[in-house]
Amino acid sequence: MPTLLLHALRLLDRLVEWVVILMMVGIVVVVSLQFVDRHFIDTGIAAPDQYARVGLIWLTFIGFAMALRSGMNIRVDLIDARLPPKVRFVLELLFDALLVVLLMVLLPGSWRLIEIGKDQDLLGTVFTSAVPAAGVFIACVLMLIYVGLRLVARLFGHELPKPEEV
Amino acid sequence: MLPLLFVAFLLALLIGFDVGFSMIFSAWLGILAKPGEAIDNAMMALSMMAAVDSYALVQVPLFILAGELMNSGGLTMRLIDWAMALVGRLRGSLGHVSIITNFVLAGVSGSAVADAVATGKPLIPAMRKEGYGEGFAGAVIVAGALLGPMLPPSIPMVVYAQISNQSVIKLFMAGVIPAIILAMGFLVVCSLVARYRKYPSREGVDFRAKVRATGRASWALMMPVIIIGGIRFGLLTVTESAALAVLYALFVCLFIYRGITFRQIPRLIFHAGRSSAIILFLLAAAGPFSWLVAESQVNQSVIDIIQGISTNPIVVLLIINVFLLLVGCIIEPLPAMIIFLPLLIPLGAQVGIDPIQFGAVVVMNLMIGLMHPPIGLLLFVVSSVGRIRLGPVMWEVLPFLGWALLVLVLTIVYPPITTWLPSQIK
Repeated sequence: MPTLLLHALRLLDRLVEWVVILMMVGIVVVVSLQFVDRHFIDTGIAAPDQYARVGLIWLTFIGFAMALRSGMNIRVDLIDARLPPKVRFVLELLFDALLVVLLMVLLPGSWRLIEIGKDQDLLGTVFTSAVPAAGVFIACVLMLIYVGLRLVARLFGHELPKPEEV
Repeated sequence: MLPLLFVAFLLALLIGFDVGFSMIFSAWLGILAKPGEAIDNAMMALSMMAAVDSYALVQVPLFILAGELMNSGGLTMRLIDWAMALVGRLRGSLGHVSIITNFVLAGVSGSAVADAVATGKPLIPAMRKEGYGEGFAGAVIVAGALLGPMLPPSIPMVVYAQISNQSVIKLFMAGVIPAIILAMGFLVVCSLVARYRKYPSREGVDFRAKVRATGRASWALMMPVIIIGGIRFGLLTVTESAALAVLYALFVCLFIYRGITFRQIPRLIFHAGRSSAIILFLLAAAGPFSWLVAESQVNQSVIDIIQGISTNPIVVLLIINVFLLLVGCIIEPLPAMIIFLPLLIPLGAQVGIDPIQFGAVVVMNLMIGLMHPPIGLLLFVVSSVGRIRLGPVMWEVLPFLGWALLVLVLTIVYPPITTWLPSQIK
């Protein structure tokens, strides 16, 4: 695979990993502040639960994009594991092609959510409803990049390198 | 037409397509096949997002992170030392140590696979070194790990609470008595096997050594006390207790046990985040899938079929459990819960099964699926972690499996086992 593409992929992996870390840390901080706010001092955050929910949506979708990239998503390999390698290879290609189709279906839908949500405030936060929807949209784009690259690489007889973790 | 789409989902699932995307795929086919006005293309994305837009689910990544930190921070070895100090002089003591360590570890991680890895790594080689059969060494770890999701904090219980709209703390409590009965039976099985095969015992330690070992493990032993105590006395919500568990685990592992360094923290957080996303994405994918299930009226057909056989709650619960044990042969517990619970919960409600009892029974049943041959996930995990053959583990796990099934039947026919403790919480 071209070196430039590999560098870009590595950079993207690292960026996504840090987004996942940021979401996790954000959730811990926001939920802890809620406890502090109730028992000790006023933190001035009106709706910490709303922030935690936005973080959770981003974590779910962006984190799953990374799980898909690492091949850690859940599959039932009852039949799959017993197939000859050539059949399994063809099946993998078909799965990736189907994933691309499904992501192409989800992508415009999630963009519409951003458009609808940009004029709706999330009560108690500085966000609009477009912010959680953006997590879904960005994750769909990421998954499309990862699965698309994997599909093209496999068609040319290569495998995408596994992500190097932080 | 719609039942056919349900078949398409099962087919995609069985040939090895991603579980979450199998649900999205069949929901998409359902939308395309639906007669009448076209459905807005934002519906799928919206229902996926709405399925995880819940403050109660924030506990999932937090409990997973607390477990990840504690498991990496040297907790397991201290718990093993503590259990060894308590029961080391018994014949076949390492088997007992495995069960006791897993029982306590359950109060930290809530994941059967994480517990099997954490205890299997040090204990399987130790058991092999002392002459235990490889099958028994693996089987006892599998049995111990089964206790994890039955005790608080349990991720499957949180997921069940979300799907069924029940109290998480009551569900946490519902698993405690069955887990104690399971653990006691597992200890008896260990004793009988050890006596029959003349496994070695170790020299006993004096009272002061026991106190010292308890002191070293006390930071880990305090974790479940903080979680349950904080919620019980109204100081914390369940979600806040999960955040506190993370901060506590971070403090203990960094400054008390010194098992992790600051440099390792981002990696551990990332691993926990990714593991959480895998679980949560299943719930998100179940959003549009639930629409398919409702549209296809599969749940009404299932209710009609089972009610045609019997309307007695115990008989219905037994039928559901046989079905779930068969499902557990091919699908992992969490996906199985997310796929089938929307069908089964209304059935349970119609015949008057207590939803808390139903939750505890379902979680226990699906966890048993992790240990029963031929494809129980825990069997593969211990075989891989302990570098032992799968065949002997499958054989030796049978007495533990037999006891687990017996306890499952007990919890079905005698509801107070699961409902008494939750009823004490106001």
